[in-house]
Amino acid sequence: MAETVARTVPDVDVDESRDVANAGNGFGLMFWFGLCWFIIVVVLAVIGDFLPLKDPNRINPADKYLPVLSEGHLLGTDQLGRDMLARIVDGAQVSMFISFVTVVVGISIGGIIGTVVGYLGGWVETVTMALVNVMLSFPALLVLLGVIAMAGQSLKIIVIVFAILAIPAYIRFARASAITLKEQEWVAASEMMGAKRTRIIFRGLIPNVMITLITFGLLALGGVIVAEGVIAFLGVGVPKPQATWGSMISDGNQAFADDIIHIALVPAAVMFLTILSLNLVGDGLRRRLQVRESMI
Amino acid sequence: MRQLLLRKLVELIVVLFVVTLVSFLLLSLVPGGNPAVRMLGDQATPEAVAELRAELGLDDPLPTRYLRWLGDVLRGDLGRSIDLNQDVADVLREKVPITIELAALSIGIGVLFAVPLGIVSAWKAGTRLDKVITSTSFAVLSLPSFLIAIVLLILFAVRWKILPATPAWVPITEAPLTNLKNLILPVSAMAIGEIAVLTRVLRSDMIEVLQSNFIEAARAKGMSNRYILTRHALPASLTSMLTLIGLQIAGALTGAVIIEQIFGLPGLGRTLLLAISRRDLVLVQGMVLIVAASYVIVNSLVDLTYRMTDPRLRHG
Repeated sequence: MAETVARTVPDVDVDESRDVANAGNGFGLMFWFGLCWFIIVVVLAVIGDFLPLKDPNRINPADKYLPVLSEGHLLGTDQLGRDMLARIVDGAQVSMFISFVTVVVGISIGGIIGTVVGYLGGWVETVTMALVNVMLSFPALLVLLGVIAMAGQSLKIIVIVFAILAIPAYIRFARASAITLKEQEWVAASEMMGAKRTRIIFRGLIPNVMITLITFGLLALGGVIVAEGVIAFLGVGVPKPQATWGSMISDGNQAFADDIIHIALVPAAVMFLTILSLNLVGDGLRRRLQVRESMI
Repeated sequence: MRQLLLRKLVELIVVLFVVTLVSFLLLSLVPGGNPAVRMLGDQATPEAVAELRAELGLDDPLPTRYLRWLGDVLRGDLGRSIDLNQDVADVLREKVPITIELAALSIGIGVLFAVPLGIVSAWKAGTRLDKVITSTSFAVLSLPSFLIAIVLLILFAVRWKILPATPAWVPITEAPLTNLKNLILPVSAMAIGEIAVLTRVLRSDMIEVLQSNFIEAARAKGMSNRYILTRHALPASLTSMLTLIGLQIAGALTGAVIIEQIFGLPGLGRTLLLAISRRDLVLVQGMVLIVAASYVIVNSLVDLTYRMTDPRLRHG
């Protein structure tokens, strides 16, 4: 989605200070709600292994389909009697791992390449951007399905493909910021004072580019969580029995035949709240940093 | 103008070349992709396999094979699916209309709802109504289409049992009503997200347009609000939305994959997934080629259209 908007909205969107509905300073209640939820998810994912939870993969047919709020199973159990709470936390680890690696790789590699070519310009820039455009012209889902068809399914392959697919969008974004930044006086001043190019790029431009890139990255985290859900649903995600939010929803989809809905609903709600919280935080930061929506 | 067209055309050709190359390599480099083994079965002797390989020209150098394959593709021959015992081109001819119907209905309904919602929201910017529309669309944007699909399934198919979850496919030419009824859930699942994103973009553009001088002038002349909104403000606010619609059409080609899977629609997406799980690589190759090529072509057309309509980008 982030990428779609980047290519679509030509620079015509609203000057937000004039947009009455968005008026007001501060982050607002929703921003803090989003931040809290996101921190909870990250903390659960990090300390999940040390919590007194049940084994997420332990099968217990006697206890299958227990509803939410059952004794001993706060979020109920799934079609194999596995504890849903433990699986949600276990799945959060996978989701957070995939999305953080993807976004961090995208921001660091894409950010550096984009800033460098944006600052240098010339044929380096032309060639890089042509490559980026070719990569962005490919439908990402197809590339992913194609690679999985060839290389087989594993967490490692999924993370690598996600990270590679993420890089071009960040290059494009970082280049755009770098081009704006290099017109500012302090760059000319540093050049005149004899600062080396590497110094201008790494000490001057990159920290500035990173601020906006991180806003973009927060919104992109949500996109990666969705992408994991999609491939899990399509049966080409992280191999079973590893719980992921996407694979849990997919399991729940199969339980509809037995009129059981909580198996799909619980992970779906968790995924929705997490994406929503990332959008709220990203949007709040974007407004505060005055990054225009069209840039993202 | 001509220079821009030419540059775009060159870009398109380069990307299409890469698309064919990737699709070709997909089949040629995979170990399981050896069609000789697949055709003869696992029991085949190495000599028989070698003989068939030579017969099929599989031992020629890669560039030769690529050119031969490209020649076949340009003549409309995408190879034959061993598992389905059917020409890939025929499979596509059967499946493409299903996906196109799904995508076209979703985007059509998206536009149908988004235009009035966007206009009202921009016109009443800052009021409670606008806030409801804006925050609902923001929330919906956090709901990927497959989550919407799950919620719709739970409500309409599991709880209320009004609509079937995975109905048998009936072509629209045979039984239009059944066909449309069966598409209500899948189309809604895709359209709801379209409505949200299109409303947001239209509102944003329209608020800016409504503040411009020519709207002020129209008001001063005493034109009615309805006239100003529909005849002056709306056309000027459509650029971003039209661009986005174009991209959504391209996106719907891949977006339909998951929706088809959830609702069991036998379109391109589902066929592709089945082909992947059976490792029917000739079919995978043909579908990847066609879907990626259409995606690329639609994208360039969209890009070109908005460069031509927006004077600021015409020389970009």
